[in-house]
Amino acid sequence: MKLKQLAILAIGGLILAAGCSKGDNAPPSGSGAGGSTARMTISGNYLYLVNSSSLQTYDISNPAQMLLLNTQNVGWNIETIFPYRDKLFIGSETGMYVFDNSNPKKPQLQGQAQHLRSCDPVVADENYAYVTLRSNNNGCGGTLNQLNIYDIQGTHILNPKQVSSLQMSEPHGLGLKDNILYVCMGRNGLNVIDITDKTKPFSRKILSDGTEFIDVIPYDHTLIVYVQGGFILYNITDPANPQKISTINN
Amino acid sequence: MKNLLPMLTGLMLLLSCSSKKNEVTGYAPIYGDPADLTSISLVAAQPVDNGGKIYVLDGILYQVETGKGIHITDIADPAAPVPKGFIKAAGAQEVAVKDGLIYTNSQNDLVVLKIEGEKLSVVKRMPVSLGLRFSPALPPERGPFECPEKSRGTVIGWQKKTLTNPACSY
Repeated sequence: MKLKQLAILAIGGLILAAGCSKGDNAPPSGSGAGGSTARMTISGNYLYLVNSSSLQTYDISNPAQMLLLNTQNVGWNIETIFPYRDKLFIGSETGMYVFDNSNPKKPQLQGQAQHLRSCDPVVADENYAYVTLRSNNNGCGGTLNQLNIYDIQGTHILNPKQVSSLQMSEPHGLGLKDNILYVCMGRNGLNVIDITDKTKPFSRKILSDGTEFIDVIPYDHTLIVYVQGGFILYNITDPANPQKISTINN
Repeated sequence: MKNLLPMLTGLMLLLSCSSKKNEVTGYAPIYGDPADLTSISLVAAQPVDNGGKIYVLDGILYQVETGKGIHITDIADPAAPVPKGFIKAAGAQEVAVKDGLIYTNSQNDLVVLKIEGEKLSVVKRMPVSLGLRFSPALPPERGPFECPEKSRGTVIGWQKKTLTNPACSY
């Protein structure tokens, strides 16, 4: 009897512990952050790689013995992968795929949102996914140039529901800090978008000086911006007012 | 009949030429020593030429020099970034870091790199299906590109650039 009680307590404790770590805001230990246009990412002891049609999962718990665990077909013209907690968001030219990653050895396709043909990196938070669609001359096709916001709360994850969109010129990579979304628009500048109301995103300002903005990583109070030729760092202590503090480019 | 395909290809290349001055983003060849295709080494910091994808961990920024390697920059003081070194890895496109180990690609190999002091070692190298065409013949993405010139050496990779009137495309 006593043993049984002990076992129940232990299992209860384990469940609680698991619950806590899931709710934690900290990124998975030991790895950092990449941009929204990456094809490779690390989450926990696993490395994920997307090529044009598939998602590959590698076990890197022992890096010297790195192992390909599986390859899953996802779709066509896949371009990007972005991890958020126990999910992986994959951007393709025809849509966004959400994978449940609670079993990191084999992510499971959970939902997808189709859209017209374009290039589209994606980032996400707990409740929403943010996708930029860009048409250009480099083979992405399509005529769309906009930001789409999708509700992925609860069962919406199965069929992400578009709640808004915002037209803009040539959106590329993007990054999220509090209620501000930074969207790179190539030579058209860096768009600072207020997303406090997900149904009504609006542009607060566009930083533009001829630089070609490609992708961003919000990193504490610093916004790391990948621009054509190098990078620029902005102070985003006030996220709505990025202040340029340094530049390394050619 | 046998000559039809090269003729058609030539015709298509010609058709893709444009006479007006037109700036587009496309690929330009990287020339180099074929032996550099697989060797990976740590060298002194290099000026950023064609910065690519970025990854950040513990105040260190890793930026791919597309097709050539990875710049390592200390940004712990964001107002004064300090270039720390450059990893030469031909074909590099992607980078991620965990527990002090750097994951990147060298051509179509996924490599795990470890840096101790001035010394770089390759912890693991394995061929993967990146699906990127690291072919000397063609750039990794469709679109306009700068035609390789034999006189400039062997093409060991491609880098994204703003091109003026590129004569080739596929």
